[in-house]
Amino acid sequence: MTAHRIRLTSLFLLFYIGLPLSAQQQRPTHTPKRDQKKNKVVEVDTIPFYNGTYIGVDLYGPGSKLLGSDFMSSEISVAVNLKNKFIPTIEFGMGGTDTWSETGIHYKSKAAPFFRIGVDYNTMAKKKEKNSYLYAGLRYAFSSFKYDVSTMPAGDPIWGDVIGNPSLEDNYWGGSVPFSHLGMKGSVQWLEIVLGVKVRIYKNFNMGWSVRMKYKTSASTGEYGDPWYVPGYGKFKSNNMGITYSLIYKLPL
Amino acid sequence: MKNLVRIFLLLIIVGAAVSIHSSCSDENDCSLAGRPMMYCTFKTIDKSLDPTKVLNDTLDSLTIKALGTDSIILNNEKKVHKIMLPLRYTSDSTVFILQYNPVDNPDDVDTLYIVQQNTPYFQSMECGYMMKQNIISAKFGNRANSSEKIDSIYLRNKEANSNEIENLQIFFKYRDRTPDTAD
Repeated sequence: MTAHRIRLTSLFLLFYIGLPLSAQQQRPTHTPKRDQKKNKVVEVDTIPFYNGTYIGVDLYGPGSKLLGSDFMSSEISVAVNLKNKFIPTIEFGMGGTDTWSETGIHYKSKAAPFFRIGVDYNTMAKKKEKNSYLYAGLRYAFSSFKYDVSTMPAGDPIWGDVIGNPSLEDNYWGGSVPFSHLGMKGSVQWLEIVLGVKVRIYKNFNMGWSVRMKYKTSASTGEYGDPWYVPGYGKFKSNNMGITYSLIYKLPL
Repeated sequence: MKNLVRIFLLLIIVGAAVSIHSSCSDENDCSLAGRPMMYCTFKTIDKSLDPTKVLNDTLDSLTIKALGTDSIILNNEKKVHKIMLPLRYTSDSTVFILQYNPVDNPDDVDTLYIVQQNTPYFQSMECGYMMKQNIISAKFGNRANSSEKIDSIYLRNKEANSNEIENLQIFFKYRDRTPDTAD
């Protein structure tokens, strides 16, 4: 019996002494770099290619019109999230204006369409929260529209003289020619750099801000004047800045 | 999530700052809105010396009036080599009277006839309109006993402008008056 006990204790001792030794002797299981890379790739692959479709409606355009802007503009956007990294986007909107200047110039452009196409890059693709992110993107945009420019002639009720266009008088010879050109055609193409953020508010509802720098690349104008307002672009300058504030719905697909 | 809120706020602040900045620096380039002018320089050729050499010419004194207005465009200016002339907005031709000796002999004149095309052009609500003027032809008339005589006119550039781009070279008959440097 005692011999049996001794044998058992010696076995235990061997086990206790031997275990740390064997642990020390055990080589660290070093996984080759190639395998590590493979592991990472496997991780990324867990993000599906298709991550949802977003439909957005801009509220900044109508809001700024309500707050007194000369321009009325509204747009919708459709975006598809691919790999939670690249978000191809199409934007479509309508814009117009009907404005009088202080000097009596009437500029009218009926609501005309504009289109933008581009892609956003999600800078926070690896974060756990997949529905809210900061993004940067590029757009190519174009718009084709018609515009009317006219100035009311100023009449003198006592002497009966009429100044055709008070904004373009000849200061040497006197007199001016009335100006009224309706239905001039214009088209403009431009590029946009977009920086924006999208945040999930509740379930499938999101909202987003974006700031855009717009650069005019080409334009064709009417024979008797430049357009003053370009739908989706703003004032007809070489570059412009724009803001959108959108309510975005993620389609349950 | 905290980061996102931070980014969201940052973007709002940046956006607001940029929009305020852009609305404040909304400078309108109305440089084209000024009246376009027809720029002329006086030239001459001494045919007896070198008929191919164009010399700059300078008139001793010059007054320029235009038909249809009491405005004097150039008033008894001395040593004139370059002039800028307005073209009429409401008519497609402009007539100038060049008086070479306005004080002593007002009838010592030549006449310059310009036919131009006027196109009023809308620039923007801020800058208003401008008049595009293209010179179609330039002719002249000599008076029998005038002291200077226009010999010919060379239309170099049709578009009246505000950038001092030369439109006309007016060649005078060579007189023995020391011309300036050659071109």
